[in-house]
Amino acid sequence: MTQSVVANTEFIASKVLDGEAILIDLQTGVYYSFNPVAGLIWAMAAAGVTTEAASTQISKHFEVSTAAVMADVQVFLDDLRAEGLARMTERPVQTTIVLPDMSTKKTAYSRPSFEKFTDMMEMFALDPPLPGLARKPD
Amino acid sequence: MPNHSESPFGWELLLPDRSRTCLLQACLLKGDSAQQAWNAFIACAGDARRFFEADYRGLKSFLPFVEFALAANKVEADSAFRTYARVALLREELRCEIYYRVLDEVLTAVTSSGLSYRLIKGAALSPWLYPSALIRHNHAIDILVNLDDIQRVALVLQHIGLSVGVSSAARNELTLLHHSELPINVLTQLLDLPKFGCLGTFAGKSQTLRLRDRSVNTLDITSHLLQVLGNASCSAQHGNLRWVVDAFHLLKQAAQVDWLEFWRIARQLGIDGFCVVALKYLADALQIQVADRAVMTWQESSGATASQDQQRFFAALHCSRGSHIKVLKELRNNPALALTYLGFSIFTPADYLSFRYGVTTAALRIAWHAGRPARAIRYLLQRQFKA
Repeated sequence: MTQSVVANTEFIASKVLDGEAILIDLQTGVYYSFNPVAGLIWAMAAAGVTTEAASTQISKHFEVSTAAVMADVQVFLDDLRAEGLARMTERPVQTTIVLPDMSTKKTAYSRPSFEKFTDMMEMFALDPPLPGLARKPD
Repeated sequence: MPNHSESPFGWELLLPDRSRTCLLQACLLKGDSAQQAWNAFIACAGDARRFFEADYRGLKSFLPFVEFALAANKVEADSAFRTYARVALLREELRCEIYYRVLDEVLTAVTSSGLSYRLIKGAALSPWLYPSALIRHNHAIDILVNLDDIQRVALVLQHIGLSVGVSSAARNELTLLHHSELPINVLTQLLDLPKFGCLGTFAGKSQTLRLRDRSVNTLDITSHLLQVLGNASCSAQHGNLRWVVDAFHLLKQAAQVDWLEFWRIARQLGIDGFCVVALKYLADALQIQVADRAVMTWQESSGATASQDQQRFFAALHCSRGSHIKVLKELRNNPALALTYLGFSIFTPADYLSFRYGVTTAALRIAWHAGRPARAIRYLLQRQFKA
């Protein structure tokens, strides 16, 4: 059994729109914007993924060497866990990973990264019902 | 279409300004026209995200539709704005899962009770007319019922766990709250005007639509169009632009509109002045074909007096801007009109009070005027609370 990283999809809603993955943490109302590489890793993490498996897939998809992306993927998966978006699991490693169609435009490889936004109250019309939130954040 | 701007007061003030018009065009026109409109919007508004964030008239709730339309029109827009709009769209989609689940519960309960109802406003329009029901933000669920049935409907809804929120005896309406805090408005009038829109009026003007796999009683297109334009002319929801898109979609089915009936009721309500300008705007700015029949029937119908027309204009202006001070600021370049407005707001005419609030007797008029300081204080407190 190998340890893999799995996304906390129970309280994270996500959607890929035109290559950009958008995530909302339904517990806190914080949202995230993932670049295309990060979006692919997130999609793989939904079912649980190891650093090695994710790196292999990313290297194939963007046609770069696995060694070149391994460190980036490791840092990114650590960031996901630190952010509470993912956790370690003892699930069996997936042998076959089908990458989602992230975008019609194939982009060049860039380090997986995300932006975090915490100012939802000021930015949106937050009429109830608020998905996942019992009430508006104070 | 007749040019209403020849009147001494400009209904055009109630229409979307240039930047909002460009935004609407970017969403509702197609191809190069949409991209050009977006570029013009950015030239007017500057930073798109700041434009939405700075708005205080409900424009933020328009973001899911904007994102959907920009993507459909393949409009190239600033990536920071698109991220902002995509979050709004995702959030609205998640909200809609709850919204439509509650709607289903409400409709099942009301239908099972055998009581007459019509689903109105966004809850009916979004799954019916929009390419996706998830892109039109609906603040609440609105159902129109008979005045005699309002308490029975309230009991039916309380039976499924809704709690009574706000009620307005003056307007004969009731708001119930789902535990998710979604409001369900049980209304007995289609518009917030005392003389129009009880359910009995629509006996022969309703339809049953198949919405989201269930049959739903709603109004015919003519009544929906009257509601959308009437609401835009006499409510504070004017600034969120949803009324323009609703009217745009309804007018795509303009062949089904009974224009003679439309203008007859619009005249009766005193909203025909706004309707003329709004239809002209939709035709000119958004390239909607408004049938010649619509114009002819308007020209044939008898009109309100100039004095009544001006009252309706002032009232609509006040509703859309939210305060007398804001209206006076807007009219600062037209001192004569500003002075007339000031007179209207202080010495509100009796026939207007009767039309707008159903205040018909001298005693009620005195009470209405006497209550003004209290209403002003409440308004200021609400503003303070919101701030």
